Amino acid sequence: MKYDYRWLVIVFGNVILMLLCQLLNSGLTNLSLYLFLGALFVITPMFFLNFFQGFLCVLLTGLLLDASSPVVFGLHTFLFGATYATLYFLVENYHLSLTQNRSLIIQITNIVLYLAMGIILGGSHMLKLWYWGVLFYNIAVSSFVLFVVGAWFLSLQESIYNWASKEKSVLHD
Amino acid sequence: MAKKNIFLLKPWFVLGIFILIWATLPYFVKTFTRKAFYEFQAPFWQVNSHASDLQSFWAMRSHTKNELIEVCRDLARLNSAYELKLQENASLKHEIMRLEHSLELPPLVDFRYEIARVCRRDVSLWWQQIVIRKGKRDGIFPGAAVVYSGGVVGKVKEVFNSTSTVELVSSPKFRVATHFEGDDRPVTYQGEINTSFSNPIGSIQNVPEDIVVSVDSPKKLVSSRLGGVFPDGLFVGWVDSLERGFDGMFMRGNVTLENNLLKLDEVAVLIPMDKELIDEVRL
Repeated sequence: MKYDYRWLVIVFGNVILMLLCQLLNSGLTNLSLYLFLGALFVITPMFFLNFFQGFLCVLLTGLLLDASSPVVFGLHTFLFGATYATLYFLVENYHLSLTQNRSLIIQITNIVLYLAMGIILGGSHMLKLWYWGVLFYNIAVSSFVLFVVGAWFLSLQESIYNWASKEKSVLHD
Repeated sequence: MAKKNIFLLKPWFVLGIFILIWATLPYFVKTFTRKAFYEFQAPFWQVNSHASDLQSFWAMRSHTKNELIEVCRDLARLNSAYELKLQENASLKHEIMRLEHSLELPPLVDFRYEIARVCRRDVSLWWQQIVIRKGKRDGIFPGAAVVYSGGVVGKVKEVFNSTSTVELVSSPKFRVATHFEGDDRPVTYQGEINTSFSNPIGSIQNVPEDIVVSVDSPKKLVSSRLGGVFPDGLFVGWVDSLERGFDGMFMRGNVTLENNLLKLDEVAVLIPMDKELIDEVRL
């Protein structure tokens, strides 16, 4: 039995989105806006991969994001891993349909991840009202971008995954 | 039934194992992994930055010869003004050396300027940093001062093979000794969390009571030699209001920084000529 390498294709897609997002954030610095599309990194693998491959994919993406951000190494990895486990648990036990409520789940997951980061990294600023104002403003802009980019990214991942599947079947034949 | 329940907890079980492995991993493994993952992404930022430079180059090529002649004429005028300043500077340096010698003072630190292009800006609610296209092989070291034509940019935070990250002066993690222009008494400066659509800000503490500022007559905050890495007198920001500090003895206030700080394309890293100072800063 040959090893199924297609999960690396999904990691590759995540890396592309991450780099594009960094590019966008780099251009938005004079507005002090920070776009965060973490939910897509977590949810996309759930559509295409089994639990273990998806978990590995999410962890690798988290590590890449951690390496380029000035946070404790492992923060994104842990957040992504925990979110992935929670979503998988909900899908398996409560029959949460990812395909039917795709946009809603992506948006809610992204808001939860952003808020979690806001709480973990906020420190003493969490007691100030304006901190939450700025945080929610950033979340709102990220949600809008996610709404625009989400469908495109999922179809991109689907295309490259299908392409990889064809290549795999040709190679095996 | 019990077997089924255990199977349902699979995601948590796998997550738990991962956390356990991560928590017990030695520090050097994490550091190595982090550096490896960073270096994996760095070429993308560099290529993007080079592409952007190339774009500017082609845009400049579209200028007419007349426009270029005008720019050259203006530059020639600036050069002659700077040449005069250089002569003045040389005589002032000579005077400083004479005074240092006669008063037996320790010599002032001399710096070499390493010019670097900015390849990525990373500003969020929690951190503010830029990535520059110069690294270990160019002699950059952690803690080195970074400046631009408008004043202080920040300090080098981490150095990689061909890139370095710079903590911006507006970052909440940035802290340095400063003073008001024309007043040598030190004031502690620290960056602050920045709000969207506004100039970056910082805050100052330990301001002596007799310093008066107002919106009509703001005071210039400049770098102090006391910090060790910055030369004296580099522009940091403007202070237009002060209030009583928490200790009741000193004043505190907000510092408005230049908005250019978030649009920088090129910066200069100050490398001290004195090797001992480099080791001191590194420590």
